[in-house]
Amino acid sequence: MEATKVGPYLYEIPVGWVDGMRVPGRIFASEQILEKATADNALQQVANVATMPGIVGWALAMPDIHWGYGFPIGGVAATDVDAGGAISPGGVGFDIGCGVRLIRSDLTWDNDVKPHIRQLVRDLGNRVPRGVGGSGRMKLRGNEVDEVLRDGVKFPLSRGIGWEEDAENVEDFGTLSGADPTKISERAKERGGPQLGSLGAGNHFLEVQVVEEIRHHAAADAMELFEGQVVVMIHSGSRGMGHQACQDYVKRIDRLMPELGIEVPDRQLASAPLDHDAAQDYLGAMSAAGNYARANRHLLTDGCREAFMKTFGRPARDMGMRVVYDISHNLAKVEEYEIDGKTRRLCVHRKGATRAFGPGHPELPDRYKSVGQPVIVPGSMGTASYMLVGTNESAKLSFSSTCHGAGRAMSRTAAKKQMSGQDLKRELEERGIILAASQPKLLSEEAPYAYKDVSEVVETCEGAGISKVVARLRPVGVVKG
Amino acid sequence: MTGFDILEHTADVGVRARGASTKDVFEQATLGLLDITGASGSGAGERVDIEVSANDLAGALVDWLEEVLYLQDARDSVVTGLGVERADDSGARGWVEIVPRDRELEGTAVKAITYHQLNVSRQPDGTWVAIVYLDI
Repeated sequence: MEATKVGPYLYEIPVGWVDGMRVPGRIFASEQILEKATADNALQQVANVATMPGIVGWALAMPDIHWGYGFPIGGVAATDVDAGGAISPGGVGFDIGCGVRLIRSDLTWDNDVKPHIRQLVRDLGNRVPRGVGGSGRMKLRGNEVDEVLRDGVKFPLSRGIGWEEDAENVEDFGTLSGADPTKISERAKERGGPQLGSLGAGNHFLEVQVVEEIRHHAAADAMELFEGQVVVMIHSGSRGMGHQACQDYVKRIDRLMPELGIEVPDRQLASAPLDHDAAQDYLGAMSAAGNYARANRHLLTDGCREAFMKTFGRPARDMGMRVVYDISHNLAKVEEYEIDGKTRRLCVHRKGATRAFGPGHPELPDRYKSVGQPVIVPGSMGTASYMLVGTNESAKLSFSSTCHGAGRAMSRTAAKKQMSGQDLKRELEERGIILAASQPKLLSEEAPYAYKDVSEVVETCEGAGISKVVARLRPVGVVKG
Repeated sequence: MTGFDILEHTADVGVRARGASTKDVFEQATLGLLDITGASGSGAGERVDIEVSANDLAGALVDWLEEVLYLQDARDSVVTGLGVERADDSGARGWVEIVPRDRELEGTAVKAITYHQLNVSRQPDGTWVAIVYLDI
């Protein structure tokens, strides 16, 4: 069976592709992207997701689709909360609340930053704890870990870290409601507690970037972006806290499956109906880990402002280092959609996909009401990144979701074989990109050639109508985990 | 025939372990995990006993590997020795020796042990093969 084209940049796989599919699968893709996803087993995973109890519409995949575990990366699935819909911890993934934050500045590349970029990358590297294990920027005492889990960015703010207005520009204004720290295991707190305020490893990074091209001026104005400007992008998640919380709940729900009478084609898809205790407990734990992830990016922002102050000898406020937006790409959220003329509460799983509300949505901060929600799309190391905004069409097409990155195209082993970490570092430096890496030998696992072309991914999203390109950013300094 | 291979995956990485018994195959899968994370060392360390209970053999493997990963991450340690004494449908028991990490690891950080394509099975020749994928 082959996927059939059903719209511009939209392909469908029919019910019956695998046994037990309840809805068709849909993939937002160009011809080339579809070809890669087919070769990569990822379409099979879209079909597997379509077997979830209570799934509505389609099992979806964004153009950065690739083979994941259970869900494909780039996967979106909405289940009906009031009609037996299920939640799958594996459908959110181990890095609960992983996401991206963009911080703007008044500085320009040519006049302000270019002469000091090496110093800036060094200062950032010194203030951003990263790599495997280790400890983060904030030491928690007593029950403070529970406050982080409950309050998100409001916790560091209550301790005088960061700016009050930062929270306004974070998804859910910085705090996911429904977070229940008692649903997070002691083991997760033990792993994640000491790591608060650290970048992590793998594909996580902090990048100094230059706004290269503005394509949507009204939205760029709302985001206070202009060509030639220097901005900072932070990609990080919930560290050991989220990893352990997910592990705990996949295990708990996996063991419940016979009792629940739910069969899934891949054990990682284990899911429980939303009205079951295990599902409710997971929602409380997931929201708590999501709050941790936001607090984590907030603390990394503090480190980033400190580094800029050190390099440029000016207060961060004088340099206009305001948060543009902060959004997760691994989360499940209960949102309302109109289905067949009726408003339904759906649990929208986004695993490597970004929420992208269109203009006028009530959950947007005032400054973005007229242009739509900012979406931050990090490219692979050394390539472009993009700022997008959500559209209103996406509510009907993709449960208000769009892409989250370039999407891998090559395994880590294959990427390492192609080039050594040292050679890659040299090549990037020749192109004017300064690097600080805690594991230089591993750099090539994250090489640009291991990823799809991020430009093709965002253009596919725009062509499909699920988001609009606002600005293209190019990296000049990279701090890697 | 005892040993392990690293399986390629677009984003993550897998281990295929082989052994004469379930105990062997659990040990080899653990060595595969340590090969990926680079969190192995030598010398005498602190012995930590591990016991997990499960509903099936493959689930027991995930739980066992999770314990090893937890010690690595929460205790910020590397493993210097290990032994599996029991591995069956009801769980697994064994030990690892750990020492505090004193260097940057050269391996890839592993976030968690997944159930994706998880399989532990007896081969026609009586040996055991385990497949497990790790989230990077």
